[in-house]
Amino acid sequence: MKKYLAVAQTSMKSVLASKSSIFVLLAQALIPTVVMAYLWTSILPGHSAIQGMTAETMIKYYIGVNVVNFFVWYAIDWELNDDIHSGELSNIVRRPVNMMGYYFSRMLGDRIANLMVLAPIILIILVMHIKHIFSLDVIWFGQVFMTILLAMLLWFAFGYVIGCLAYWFENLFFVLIVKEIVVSFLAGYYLPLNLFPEILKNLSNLLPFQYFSYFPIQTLLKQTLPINWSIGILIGLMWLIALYGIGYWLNRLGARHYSDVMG
Amino acid sequence: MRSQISTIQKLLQMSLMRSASFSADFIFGILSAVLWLGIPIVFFKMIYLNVDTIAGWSWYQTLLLVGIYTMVDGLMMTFLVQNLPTLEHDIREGQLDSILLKPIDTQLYYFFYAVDFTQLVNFIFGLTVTIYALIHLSINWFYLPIALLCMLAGCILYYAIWFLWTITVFWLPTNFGRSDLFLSVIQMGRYPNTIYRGFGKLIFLVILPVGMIATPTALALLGRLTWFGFLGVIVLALVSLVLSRLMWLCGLRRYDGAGR
Repeated sequence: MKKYLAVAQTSMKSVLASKSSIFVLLAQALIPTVVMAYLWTSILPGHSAIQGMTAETMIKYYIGVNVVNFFVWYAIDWELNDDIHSGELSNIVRRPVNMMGYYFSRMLGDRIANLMVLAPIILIILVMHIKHIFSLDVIWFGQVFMTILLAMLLWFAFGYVIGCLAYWFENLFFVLIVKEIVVSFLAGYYLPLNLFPEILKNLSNLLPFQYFSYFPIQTLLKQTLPINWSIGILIGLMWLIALYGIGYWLNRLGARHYSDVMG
Repeated sequence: MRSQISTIQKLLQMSLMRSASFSADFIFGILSAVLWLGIPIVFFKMIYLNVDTIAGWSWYQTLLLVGIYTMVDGLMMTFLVQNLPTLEHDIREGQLDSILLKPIDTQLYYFFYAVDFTQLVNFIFGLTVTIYALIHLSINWFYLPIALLCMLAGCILYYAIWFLWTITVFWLPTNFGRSDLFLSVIQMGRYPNTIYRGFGKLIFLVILPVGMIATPTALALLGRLTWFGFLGVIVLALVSLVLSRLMWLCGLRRYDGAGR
């Protein structure tokens, strides 16, 4: 356990090493949300709504997207791709750590650093809403915590599977781009999934991507019934087991394929 | 000057060979281009199923805007998608020294060093959507030269925003790549710039002019661009180009190399 904590700590320190990180992370969260706010207030002026969603609920949704992203969105596949193609993987496999555990610790460290960077802002928001904190719904809080944790684990497992393709692909750049576009769309990053036409809704129900973003946001915004939440968690867990198995198997297969001059 | 042109020719040849060496890349490049253009179209289509206009733009006008944005994006990505992350890495890691010694202007080098020709597929798809949208709109072809000038200005703005953002690493280094932020922000150029009001106009049309990348070209083709708007985008492009050069020279003075 100590070894993995050390990896997470290194990853965390790497982000916190430069003070300008706070500016970049803040801009990354704020600018797209502000633009989406302008777009949706133009589309839905006043109290007009699309399928029950007003401009205000759309803006809340995009804020939710950013909140969830802070816990989830880590480019594990890009990192694995870089390490495999640069030969850095040789240094990692020689360490007394499990490879999946190593990359997960790196992701954890990075996400904790992100939260630490944003801690002053989170604190200000909490102080501004101090009255609501004391009347916090504990069950809802637990549900949000669980969905975000599930989203994190699923994101990691899926990114790991995709990153493992780098064992066979000479250049994974476009594969990763395609993955990012498809996942962002079907995870509800651009548009809530309830606005999708039936065919796309059905497609997203067959895939794990809604658990990366849409499902946690719906839980965060208290838009999920307890029964649907339980079913969602169950399906998400099944996806997690499946993706973990595929990742483990692909890594074993890929490691046999991997070659490096160790120098 | 002649030696610079010959160096650029050699760099382009090398890039072409690199692009051709990964055949699987080309297939995924086409797939990514289809999705890159297809997803915003689906996004807008879903909205237009519920509303008639977005900030005064009809469905075909928005399609025209998306097509133009994709053309600018595809063209600039061809030159920048590999070069600017490399520039950022080289500044951060102190590896700029050897590039500064090369017989070519360094800013020019980081435009032609690794050209990704696969990205041109995006440009072609963008052009196709633009033509499709134009067929459904009444266009005054008299405005075509003005639209082309606006598009050139849009390309310059796209370059300047990304380049200026990249070279802030001279002053504000981070341990992670900053292209992600640029890519998530620049996509906002697909939205009509008429959505911005009040303070937003100043931010997204002047300070961070993502709203000026594609909208003026679309407005020119639609015959709705005012002379003030036209001059505005041209002046903005020229100022941002000069600013990027000045900031680059300032950054170089600040640069500490490791002698690698």
